[in-house]
Amino acid sequence: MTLSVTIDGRPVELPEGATVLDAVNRLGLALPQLCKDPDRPPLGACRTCLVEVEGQRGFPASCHLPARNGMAVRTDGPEVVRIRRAVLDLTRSMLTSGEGRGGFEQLGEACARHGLAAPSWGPLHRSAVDESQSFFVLDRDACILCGRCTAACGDVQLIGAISLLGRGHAEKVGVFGDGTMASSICTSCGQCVATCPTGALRPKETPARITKRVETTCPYCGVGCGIVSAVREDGRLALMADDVPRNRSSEGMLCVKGRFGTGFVHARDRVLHPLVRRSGRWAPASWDEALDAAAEGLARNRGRFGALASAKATNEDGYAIQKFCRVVMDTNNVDHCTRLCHSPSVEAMLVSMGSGATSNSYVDYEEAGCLFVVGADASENHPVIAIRFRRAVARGARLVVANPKRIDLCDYADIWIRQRPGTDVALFNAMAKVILDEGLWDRDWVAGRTEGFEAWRASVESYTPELAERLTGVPAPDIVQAAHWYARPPFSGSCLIWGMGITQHTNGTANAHALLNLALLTGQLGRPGNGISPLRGQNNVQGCGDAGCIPTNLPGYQTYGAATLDKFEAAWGVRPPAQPGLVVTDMVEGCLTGQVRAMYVVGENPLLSEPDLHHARKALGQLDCLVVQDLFLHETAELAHVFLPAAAFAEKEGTFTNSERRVQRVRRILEPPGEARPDWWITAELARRVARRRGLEPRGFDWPGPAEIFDEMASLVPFLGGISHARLDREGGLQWPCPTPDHPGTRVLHAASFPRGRGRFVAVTQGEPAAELPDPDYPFLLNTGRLLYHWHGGTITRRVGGLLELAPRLQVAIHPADARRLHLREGDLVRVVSRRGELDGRAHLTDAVRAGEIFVPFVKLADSAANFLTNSAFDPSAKIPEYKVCAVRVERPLGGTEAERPVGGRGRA
Amino acid sequence: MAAARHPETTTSHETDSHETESPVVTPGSLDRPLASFPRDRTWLLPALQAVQAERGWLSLADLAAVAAHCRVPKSEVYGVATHYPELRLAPRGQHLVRVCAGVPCRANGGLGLLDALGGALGVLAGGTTADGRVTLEAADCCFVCGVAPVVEVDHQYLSGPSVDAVLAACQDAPGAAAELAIPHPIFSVRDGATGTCLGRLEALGAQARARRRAGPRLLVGTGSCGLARGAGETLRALRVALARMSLDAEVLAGACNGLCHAAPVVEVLRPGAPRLTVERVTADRVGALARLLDGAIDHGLSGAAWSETATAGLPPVAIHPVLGRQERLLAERWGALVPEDLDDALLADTYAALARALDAGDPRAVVDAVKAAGLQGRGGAYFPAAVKWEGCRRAVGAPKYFVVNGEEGEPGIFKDRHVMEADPHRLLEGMLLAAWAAGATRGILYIHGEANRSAERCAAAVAQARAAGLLGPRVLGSDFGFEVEIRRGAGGFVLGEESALLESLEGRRAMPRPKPPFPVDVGAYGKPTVINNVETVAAIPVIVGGRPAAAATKLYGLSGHVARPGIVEVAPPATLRRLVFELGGGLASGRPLGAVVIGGPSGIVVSPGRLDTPLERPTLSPGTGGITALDDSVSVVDVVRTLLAFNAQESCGKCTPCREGTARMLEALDRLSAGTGTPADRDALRELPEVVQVASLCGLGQAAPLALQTAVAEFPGAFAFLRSRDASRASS
Repeated sequence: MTLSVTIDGRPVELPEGATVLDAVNRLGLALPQLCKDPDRPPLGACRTCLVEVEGQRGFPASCHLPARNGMAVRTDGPEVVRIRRAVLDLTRSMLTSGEGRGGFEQLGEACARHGLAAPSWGPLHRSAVDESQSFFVLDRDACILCGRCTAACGDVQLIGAISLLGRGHAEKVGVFGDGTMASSICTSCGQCVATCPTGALRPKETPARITKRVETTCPYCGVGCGIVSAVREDGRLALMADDVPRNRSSEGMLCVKGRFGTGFVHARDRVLHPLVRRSGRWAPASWDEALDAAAEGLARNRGRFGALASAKATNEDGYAIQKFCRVVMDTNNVDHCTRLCHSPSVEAMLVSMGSGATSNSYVDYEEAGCLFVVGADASENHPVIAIRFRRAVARGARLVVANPKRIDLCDYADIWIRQRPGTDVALFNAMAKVILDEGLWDRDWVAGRTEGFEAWRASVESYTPELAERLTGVPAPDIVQAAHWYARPPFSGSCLIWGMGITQHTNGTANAHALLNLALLTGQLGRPGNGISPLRGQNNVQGCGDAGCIPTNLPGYQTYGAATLDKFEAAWGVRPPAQPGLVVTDMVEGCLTGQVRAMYVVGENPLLSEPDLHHARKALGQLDCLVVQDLFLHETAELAHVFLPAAAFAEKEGTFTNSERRVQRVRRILEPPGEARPDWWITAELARRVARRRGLEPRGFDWPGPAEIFDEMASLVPFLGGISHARLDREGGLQWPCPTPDHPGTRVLHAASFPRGRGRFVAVTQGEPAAELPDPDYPFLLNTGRLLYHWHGGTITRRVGGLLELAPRLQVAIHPADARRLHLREGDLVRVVSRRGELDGRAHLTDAVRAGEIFVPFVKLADSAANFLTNSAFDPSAKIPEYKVCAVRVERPLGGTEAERPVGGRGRA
Repeated sequence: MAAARHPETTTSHETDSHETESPVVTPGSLDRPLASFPRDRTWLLPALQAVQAERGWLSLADLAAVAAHCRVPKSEVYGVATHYPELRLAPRGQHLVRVCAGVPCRANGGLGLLDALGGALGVLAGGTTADGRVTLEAADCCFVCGVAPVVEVDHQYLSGPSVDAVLAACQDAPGAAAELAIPHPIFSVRDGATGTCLGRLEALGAQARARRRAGPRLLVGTGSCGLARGAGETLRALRVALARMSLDAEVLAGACNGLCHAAPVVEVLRPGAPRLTVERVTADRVGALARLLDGAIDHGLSGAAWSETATAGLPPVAIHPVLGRQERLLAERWGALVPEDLDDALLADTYAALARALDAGDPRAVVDAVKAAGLQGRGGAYFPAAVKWEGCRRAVGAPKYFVVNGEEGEPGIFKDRHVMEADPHRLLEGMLLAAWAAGATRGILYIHGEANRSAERCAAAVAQARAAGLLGPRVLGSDFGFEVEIRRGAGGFVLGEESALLESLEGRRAMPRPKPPFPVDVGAYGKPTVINNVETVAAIPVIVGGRPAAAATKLYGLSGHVARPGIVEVAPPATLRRLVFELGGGLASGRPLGAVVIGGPSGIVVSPGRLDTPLERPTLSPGTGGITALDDSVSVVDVVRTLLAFNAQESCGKCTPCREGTARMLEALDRLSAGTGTPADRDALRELPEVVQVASLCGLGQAAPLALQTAVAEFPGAFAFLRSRDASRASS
């Protein structure tokens, strides 16, 4: 049903429910609409979109005036123009012209069109510009109080850092206690800046003409938000990216990194030319020289080779690398960083269900009646998913947070379960027992969809809530209540969401199984509004695994069975090896034993991300040939023999696959700087050269571009079969499985059955909480994790000035009681020492950590990094290191009282 | 929602026990005041009020605690706290003295009182004495305009007090209020589904009758207005006097019957004898009343006997200058019953219209009856009430809400407080009938934050009605379930706008929503919602009970210089002559009438030339029913400025024309009236009113220029400076 209206005599057709302003905009008429964000409901505040409606008195605001069939509207009658001009005059009179303020953007344009050269009144209020945030300013003298920014902060992001304060003409935009923006909980997401119509909130950037805008996918975490990058006339990316409301994964939301964090592509230390190490020093080389040197070294070490692919690079890049390993190097020794984050999740899910992917979609978090978020600090790591959680709470969903650290989500939670680190199995088994004992489980589901129930049931029999309370420190009633809410949410279903708090333990796989058992017991997966979600860390960690950059499976998680190998042989001309390869942690160990002599490391920096960095450095130092392909000469590259400069995300075409299995396009916005090249191109060149040296026919690496690589992958991976670059360009991102070109993609996995048939209960018991626990010499328990303003080791984010400004120093979070005993004040220099190394940081006193525990983010800042301390003890089945627990002591370095001393990290090798 | 349990942030980890206390020291725990509120945004305003009641004001630490409890971001809590005028973000003195500076009080010397008190205390308005004992403030209105001028000491009103009386009141312990509430009777409510609703109601009535003592009942008019005039003392003195006389009479707290000017009023109810209304029974005249009760005729008291002939020395009500000349339907029982007492309500046939309607089983019939009677909204907009109910009934969503707007924040308007204080059960009956007709199952009675008397009495009435099964899952045993919750505002005239009120219910700044969607489709918590004004709702049981005339009568609050201020109820056509001169007794000063403010700051200012124009829309809308008559000593420009300044201050800040336009009009008016205006100011004052009126988002802004516009038209002489060719030269 469409409506037909006329605006200034011009007919326009509209869908049911449209407003008159929609009609005006459809015709492209220049009607001011200062308070109307194009993607948000109307606020009705600025009163500048006034129109006249034939046969109706007054001058209604068109933004909240429903269009009616046959309506005749005028925007240009003399009376309505007179009133509108007067309102614009009142609005413009609020502002003071001044340096940096420009022409007040939308308001300036509207005034100019209405012949309003100067305001009739002087401003009633003046105030200083708040420049306390690193990326943008709040300039109240350019603010018209339209309310768009506070809606963006409160209603879009649900952060509520800014609010309208006061009332009447004394109203203003501000923060708690009327302090500065930096004093508030503002996370610099920039949602407010993007929507401001006058430039009162504006980026700290000299304005420049924009020559083009390109929609692409954010290069940071696994949420996969849509961004629009703008290119300035000087050829650089604009400081601020725009959001993409039609992107179904992000719905127009962004966090600080997506909004402001893309400037790293212009970092001064980008490597612009291939480098070859000659007599211990880097020497610039031509691509031919460098590729030949690399090919020589790799070919020489065939059979003793491993590759580390990048979860930051595209699917196409990943596919090229694994194909290179399997076809040219004749090995399955290819892995990526998933080993260090979610391998236990994937491992456990493969055993229990036969698929390692998130079963549901982000939208399910908002339809759920209960969210059980375990060991995942989404506000820091997946900020846009945290918004979905907050929205769910606002809709009345129960939020149960399990985390030893008081994370931001605890403030929104109905229950905060603060288990002792490493006691997760006891917690989840006890919840299972409550669900069993109280008959809250789904008998039909268990009977129809699962196996191994009875044996498993016996295994949780001893886990009473009281026992769990003793083991975990969580009050038994909280365990019971959490079990009730998870099993029987007040409405809809329950979503189980977890992060590295579950996986980065020596018992990570057991933890994951204990969680999955809860989902199997209650049937909380396979339907809209429920599901199981491991939150993925890197932008393309899902896609990198999908593309086959894992030693255990071929692309699409296909096993090394004969039929599959036949299929790949037919496509590739070479039969892939049938034996599983080495995982990354084994490759590092293999360097020490001679099992690995050459490595090809693409877009990864293991010497920051591996545990026990001194040990890892020693291992990689043994290599005969280390080829590193990246943007920067990072810690790992320092040991390399050949460095191949790669193009950044903004300089190449391809796809990323996010945590909800949505394949999305990455587009070239800029030409790569210098001689940098896309990863897939470099890998293909390398493959041809190694193949030639091995006497192989160098075919299958002559793709014209990434679209063709994707087509090849899609032809071999059934669940990607219906996806192509062309289709993504047409329709936007698609969620796999999407087997055919007419398939719409899949929101919910496991609706009717599991890939392995029935879901399998796996009995697990609570083991020792961790491999290394505090003792008199190392009395503190160290927990590590991430920071909103940095990403992983910080290789990229340290190169974005504004992000570094927001988090410049390594903070050691310590409980005030411990700090008092150690005579530490906020900001004091502290040294954290483990059996493996030490780091220096600044004390941050907070009761977010328990007494006896400290928290250090694993980003490297001022040369200190948490992974100098961490333990390389790993989970036996998934081989993930125990990043989350180790024993340390906290010291005050000599003379470390004043806050200005430089901070550095040293080894204790 | 269950309260969240968070682990202690400081645990009993193996640390020295003396080092485990929290590093953040907060002055006193807020656990107790906050514990009763679910951890949900909708309780934000009540939680802030509870904490303020505990602390006297709200510190940043307190705000942060409330924010954490209600799970609302701190900045948003700060935004809310800075928005509502009754929330205090700075400490105040031990005692709070507020002097009303509204138009009716100004006309009766309020500003002089403020100056005198300031002089005596040595502070300016807004200041606190050096010893921290007293904070002095000017109030926009205390909403007891019938006893102007009014001073409020620690939330107790005083009518026209001397400076010494105010200072003496400050010697008392703060907040010492007279406890006048009566205990709740207990009804034995039979369960089960037998019998009709009317049958159940009659059974309740029988219990009430059985409980009723036979002796005389003396009801002292202890409404807010009466208390300001010493009704509390009268009540106490009367009890002492009657005990001394060994007279077997009950002395009870009643309500104002509308004769605010005659307060304290005592109503005498004796079995088998006519009701007597006795005026001006101050504590020192209790003896005279005792003589009257003793049968004497020369008691010297005035009033009326509700009989054909004079009784006990009082003339028949028919010739009473105020009571005898009204058409009292909504007000018929005011003063004659103990307001919150369900026994009294039942004996007066309250809830009978409801019971009959429920037995008939057709909500549509209620809609039709109210529609046929033509009941229009008395909040000032005059929208047909039943049309909203039909919309709500049709709308999709559950539960549906019925909200009674008892915010009444318009200075000079005090009629809704009289309804709530005098007959809360009739209001509840109206809510039940309207909610049933509208398909709503949840009721919210939203009462002004300072209308404590209204809130107490409504709360007591709700508790009694619930105990008797008149509220709850099965109202009178029917299938109709209805719960009522009382919410309090925290100031803000804009709450009269229905969507702003809904925002405040949800714990947000009171800023109107763009419409559509209208509340009947998307209202409280996003659900279909009807919002009706108190007076509108109170008329419903009368109409449904068979007296449709109640749809046409209107409550007027007479104030200012009238000789007999108070609340009257008249049938149309009302005129200012009837209200001001016949019922109001003309001007107390004996001077000629100068101007009348009809309505408050959203109303109009008219000249005596309008005395005989019927108060009918659209020609001369009675608005909210406030009639402030002023003699010719009053400066119309000053009145307009007061009203305009109030509108500028009360603009919620959301939309530009109202927020900026009212401030600019005030700016221009001040300059022009001071003789420093420019031609641009003159142009602005001629053009801006129209802009603000037609371009503002809600009724507050749309009505904000009305007083100025009408006054300029009605009093051309007073506003001559708007016409001069050069404003500044003409005035010099």
